[in-house]
Amino acid sequence: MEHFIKLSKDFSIAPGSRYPDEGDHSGEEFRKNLLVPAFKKCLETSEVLTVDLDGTLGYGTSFLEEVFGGLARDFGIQSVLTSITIISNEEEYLKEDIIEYIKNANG
Amino acid sequence: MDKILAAIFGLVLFGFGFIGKHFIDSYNVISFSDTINWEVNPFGFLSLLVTVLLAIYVTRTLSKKNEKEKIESELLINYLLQFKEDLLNRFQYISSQDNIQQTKINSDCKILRKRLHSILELAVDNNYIGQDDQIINNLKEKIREIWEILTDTPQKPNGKTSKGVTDGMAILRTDRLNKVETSIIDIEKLIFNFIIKLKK
Repeated sequence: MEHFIKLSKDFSIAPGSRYPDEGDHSGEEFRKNLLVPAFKKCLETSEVLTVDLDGTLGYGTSFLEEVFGGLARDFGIQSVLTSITIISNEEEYLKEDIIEYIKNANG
Repeated sequence: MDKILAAIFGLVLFGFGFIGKHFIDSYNVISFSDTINWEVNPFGFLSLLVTVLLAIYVTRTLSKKNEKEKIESELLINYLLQFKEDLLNRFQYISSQDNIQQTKINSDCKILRKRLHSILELAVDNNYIGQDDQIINNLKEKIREIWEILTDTPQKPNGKTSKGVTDGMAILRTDRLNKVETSIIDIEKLIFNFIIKLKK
């Protein structure tokens, strides 16, 4: 079974800020409700989780940091770096930003 | 119209030459032969051939290449100026609002960042600037800086949330706007230097 999340389809085309009390479609909401369950499944089966970021109106720094930095704080930097693939054809540079958030995540 | 003028000018010049030849023949010891020697010197012929081919190469190939490069660099300059205008307009709108939807800021930042990256990619792909040129890196860094200033909210310190964004509406403090303005000034300087580089 393929582990794939398309953010614009599975979550929202208008991602919000970091926390739910900052508005709708927050990074924390995405991480807790969608990313973590899918990531756990991938860890169990030793498969890679693909997250497709294309098709949204745009991301804020805090959303991406909360999603990927938060995941690295929960599961460890190395584990996230090896088990997640990012698709971002619209904004290629986001991949580098995300890797940076993961590497700089402090628990 | 230009062609007709050129033809008239050519005829007048020929006329002057013709009259000049007769004038020189009449009043000077130097005289021109009325017959043409058709002997062909192979080296002279080769030299003539090379001259003709060079003339064709210069007028067609080189001038076409120069024209193409000129058009490309002019296009790039226009893109850069349009980007600068877009950046200023969007920031003017953002800074004029007391609070603004976070998704609107995200969207504006996406468009601006994407646009700048595309222009820089075009410049690199067409060899107008090197991939590792400082201008490229600085421009990318500055636009990223703006994105971070406008869309970052801190992690919860001791469980308290940042109130930079409430109910999806971002409240932009003066210090944040000031930082963005400073970055925009830096971008303007970088774009100026980039255009100078393209013009050289």
